[in-house]
Parts: sequence; C-alpha cells; structure tokens
Amino acid sequence: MHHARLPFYEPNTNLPLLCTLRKLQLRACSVQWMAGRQFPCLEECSILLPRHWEVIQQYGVQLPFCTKLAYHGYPMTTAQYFHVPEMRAMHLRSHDCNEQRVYQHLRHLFRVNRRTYNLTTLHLAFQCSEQVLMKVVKYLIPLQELNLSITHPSPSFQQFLESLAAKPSTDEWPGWYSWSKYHERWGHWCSSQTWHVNVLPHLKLLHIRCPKGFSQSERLDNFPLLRAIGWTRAYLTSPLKHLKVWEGRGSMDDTAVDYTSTGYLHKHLGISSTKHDLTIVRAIVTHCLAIACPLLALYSTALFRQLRYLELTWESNYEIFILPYLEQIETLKISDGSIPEYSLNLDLPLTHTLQCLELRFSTTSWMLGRTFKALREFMIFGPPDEPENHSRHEGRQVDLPACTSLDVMYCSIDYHRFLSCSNVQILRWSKHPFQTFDSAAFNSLHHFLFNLSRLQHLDISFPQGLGIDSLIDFVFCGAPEHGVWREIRSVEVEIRFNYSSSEASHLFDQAVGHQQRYEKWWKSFTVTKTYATIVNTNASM
Amino acid sequence: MFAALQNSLASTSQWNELTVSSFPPENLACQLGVQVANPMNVLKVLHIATECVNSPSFAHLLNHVPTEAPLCELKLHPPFASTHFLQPHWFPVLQNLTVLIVNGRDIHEPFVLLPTFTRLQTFEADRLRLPFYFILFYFILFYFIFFVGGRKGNASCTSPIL
Repeated sequence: MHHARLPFYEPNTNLPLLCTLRKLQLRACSVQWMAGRQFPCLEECSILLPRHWEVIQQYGVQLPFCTKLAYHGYPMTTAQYFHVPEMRAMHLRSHDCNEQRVYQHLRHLFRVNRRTYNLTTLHLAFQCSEQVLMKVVKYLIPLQELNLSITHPSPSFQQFLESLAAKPSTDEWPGWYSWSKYHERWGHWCSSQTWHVNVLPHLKLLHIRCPKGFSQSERLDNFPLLRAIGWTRAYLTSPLKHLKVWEGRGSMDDTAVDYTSTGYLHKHLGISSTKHDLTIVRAIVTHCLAIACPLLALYSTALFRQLRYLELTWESNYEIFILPYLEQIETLKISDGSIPEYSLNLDLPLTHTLQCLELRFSTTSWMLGRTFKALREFMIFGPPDEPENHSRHEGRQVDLPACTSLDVMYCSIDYHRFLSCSNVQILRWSKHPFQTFDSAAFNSLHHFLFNLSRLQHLDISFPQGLGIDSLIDFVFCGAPEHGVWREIRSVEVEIRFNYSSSEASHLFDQAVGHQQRYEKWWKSFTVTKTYATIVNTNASM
Repeated sequence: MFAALQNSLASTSQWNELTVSSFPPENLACQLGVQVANPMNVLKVLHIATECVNSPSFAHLLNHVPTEAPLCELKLHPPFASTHFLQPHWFPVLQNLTVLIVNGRDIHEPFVLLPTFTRLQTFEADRLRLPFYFILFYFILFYFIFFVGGRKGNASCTSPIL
C-alpha cells in the first residue's frame, strides 16, 4: 500500500464478510485487519506482497476450511501464521535474493508446518539451491502437482531431477540386440519391472519454469534427465501425466516442452525417430549406450557423464571428442574411431574408472603416457585406417597396472612394447597378416612375454615367419624351465601357413619330435594340423 | 463489427451481464453513440478487463450503469474503473455484492467498507488501502502512549497512518 492513511475502527468491529468470504486475494494491500480473525468459509486465500504483515505474526489468522493458500512476500516464513489445517494446495513465492535465507525459510516452513505433508499441489517460485527441494519433497507423499519456477538453476538442479526418476526393481538389463529385436525386448523388460520412486510417488503434473530462460547448454544438459523422469514415471502405478518445461524467457511464444512424449527430440536435436528416444531413455536408466550419431550432440550432458557402458561404432574414421566427458565409464568399445591426443595435463576421468576397453581400428596414441588405474580388460583389434606415428611418443607407455586380460589382435608387430602390464594373466596375441615378422620383432615379443610373470593363459597366433621355431621352444620349454610363468595353466600357439603344406608338415613333425621334451613341463601336450596349413600346439597344466 | 456494436448498444437496458475485454479507441468509440444508450437497469454482472483504457466514451458507458441496477458481481481490473465505482454514492450497492475485484492504485482514501459487506464471497484487491481494526488499534495506541509519547513529550497521537 502506498501513501496509506488508514482510519480507526471501534474495538470489536464486526466484519460480516468473515462469514461469507469464500475467496480472498489481496495484492499489495495491508493485511493487518486479518490478524486474530477467523474466516470460517474461506476456501482460497492469496496474500501477495502484503503490507503491515508484522501483526499477523503476533496474532495469526485462522482459516479452518481453506484448502488453497498462496503467499508471496518477505519474509516467506510469515505464511506459517496463516493457520490452514485443511490446506491441500500451497503457492509460495519469494523475491528474496539472499539464497541462504530463502533456503532456511523454506526448510523452516516445511519443518514447522506439518500440514504441508498433506499437500496435493505445491507451487514454488524462489531463488535458492534446489538442495532444499530434495529435503522437502521427500515428505510430500500425497503431492500430485508440483510447479517450480527457478530463477537460477543451481548445480544441484540436476541432482534434483535425477532423484525424481523412477527405478526398476532389478538392474539386470537385457543385452544388446539388433534394433528391431532390441526395441521389443527392451519394451518387454520394462513392462515386466516394478518401478518405484523414492520421492513424490503420486506426482501427476510437474511444471518447471525458468523466468530468465535456460541457456542452450542447460537445455541440452537437462533434457535427457527430464525425459527419463517422464518416461520412467509412466510405469508407476500412479503415472506422471505431464512434465512441462518452459525453457525460454517466459515470453508469450514460449511454448512448453512436454517430456512425457517424444516431441523434445525435434525441439532439441531436430530429429523425430522414436528409436533415439528409446536409446536416450535406456542410456539414462541403465547407464549403457550404443551410440547413434545424432546423439553425439549430447556429449556434454548428464547422459554421457553418467554412462558406465558405451559402444561407439562408425562407418568411417570419425573424431571422437567425448572422452573428457565420460566421468563414470566402466566399459568403452570404439570401432573406427579417431581419438584426439589430449594434453597429458588434462586428467581424463576415464583413466580412473574404466575397467574394460575395446578399440577396433581406432587410434591408440591418446593412451600413451597415461595410467589406467582400474582397467582390467584391454582389447586392441587392428590398426586405424590412417596409421599412427608412434615414434614421436618414444619412451612413453600405456600403464595398465590392473590389467589381467589383454588382447592384441592384428596390430603393428611391435605395439606391445608400448604397454606396461606386468599383471596380465590372460594374453591373446595375433600378428597382423600383412606385416613381416623379423628377428627384431621376435625379440621384442620374446621380451614382452618374458616379463609377463603372472601369465596363466596364453593364446598366440602367427602366420609363417622367422623365429617361429625359437618361439615355440621358448613357450613350451624355455619359459617353464626357467620359471618365467609360475602360474601358467594353458598355452595355445597357432601357426598359419599361406600356401605351403610342406612347411606346415615340417613344423608339425618338428613339434612332434620335441613332444617328449615338452611333455616334461606340461600335464598334457598336443600338436595338431588342420586344413594342411595350420599347426596348433596346445599345452596345459 | 462496428455496426453490430452500435446495434447492441440499443439494448443496454436489457443487459444482465457485461464483459468488456477491450474498448475501441476514442476516435472510433465516439461514433458509437454511447451517450445515447439507455441505462443498464437490470445489469447484474460487470467485468472490465485489465486491458481496457479509460476514455470519455468509456466513461459514458460506465455512467449508464445506474446505482439502482441489481449488481452482484463487479470485476474492475483497471484502476480507473475501480475509481469510478468506489465512490460514496455507490457504497450501498457495493455492500450487497457477492464478488468484488478492484484495483485501488488511483484511490487515495482508505477503503472503509469492509465492515459493511454482508454477502461478499469473492474479494480480490490490488493496492487497496485496507484499514486495521481492533487488534492493531490497541497495538498502535500502546505504541504511541508508551514509546513515542513517553520519549518525546510533545509527540502527539494524531494520525494512525501506517
């Protein structure tokens, strides 16, 4: 109220309207006349930017049958002096810029007023960390409608969104299949689950506004989480019907995006295929993703940051620039990928989390000079289309202290010299068919094998070439004789001859000739010849 | 449209409910013949939307609402419309309303009618100067006597303005 000149009234002034009013809305009006009064018929009460509210804190206002209370003012805690035992809908709005104070006021309001636990509708417009929402909403079990207006989304906004998504009863996801079968199986699996939520189990409407508008990166960052909420909550016994987000600046043409349907795809990615929707949802729910190209635009979003499993397959060599964003990745499979060499000053999060890495026809020099602390399984299959120049990284290695399973298939013949992996227990090694295996290469491999002191299973495959005789002798006799592999359980060596069956026969005869010497170190030892050009030598403990 | 509006003004005496969402600018409205319209003797509900702007023709239209009309709902969102009806000669009519929506931005006098409403069910007020009643009366009296009066011997309790 401006320039107020208020008259006196006699004590005990009778106000008949107290017994007739059903709806009261006061904006920028003085409210002290309500203090100490009871409004027995009032059903809706809105007090916006009140004047002279202090006396309300002293005497309170009784609204015994009011079901909807809206309060917008400072301090927000004044709302607690409106005693509304039947309240089902509450609108709270604060223009206070002191985030800490708003946080405390909101917590206080919900803590002191147990009536709020019966709310079915809650509208909140404020500026403070969304942490308070996470503390508050867990008590609002019957809440069906939540309307949020957030001035500046804080970092905890995404945590809040994550807490709203429903979870399946098990985490045994169906595996990957072809797209058509995958969709079907995924659908069946989702339907078979009992989905549950930890907060707001009866929520039907969720509206989110940001009066200043979400930035483009915020929109991208949020939408996978929003879609996950919309999608997973559809499986609840009390399903979410609408999740509308006004992402613009609140202008008239700012239409809401409803995340209970797939319209968001066109809005954010310019695509409409529902298979991408399923991929996004599955990635958020399971943290697993087999990539589809348009989704790479989401590389910086929570969708990628939370992934634990990622499979990237390209039709041609493609620059993969997402590694710095994979914060929780455990399994990563890349085919035909060109991965940039990041500065070693950049600590890639995946070096701490990655447990399984599979690189097919992809670059590997980005790994040099880094330690992959958790990597247990590493498979490298074939060189990239454009050969890498490892010589400029001379002296650097890929440190794999936890690696127990190593597959080096069809790579450059000396690739293993870039690996530091003394704890490998299982080694599968196969030479590239079009590269010459000379004595230097043999010496290099010999040295590599010699240093794998914890080796248990060895499986190597060569085409014909120099040094094969020596290698076989080392593997089946030299190594066990000198106790190089104390834990060895089995060895398989396969030699492939291109054309000459006579050379294969020669090697076969030679191995048979040494059988007695080899058997001294193994429980079983066998030599076989297949298709006249392949000699297999097996031994086990 | 203009002709239809003109025709409708010929039957103002039969209107039960009038909602004005917007009003023509004065150069057009002056040709409507609002001045010669009949009093809205049976008007029960009057709703003037926020978007309406004051003009001489609009004022003429409002003047055709007589105090004798059986009004029960007044939704007066623009300040000028509220000012028009929140005048002493309208008070007897206001007291019988069931719905009252007013904007008191241009009203400088306090709104003293609260005790007289006997049927009001919906009351929405924007920037309206509402008085305080007995509880605050004592509070202010106490404040002036013991604090202001006590500290400043010549302070007077002349205005309870808040």
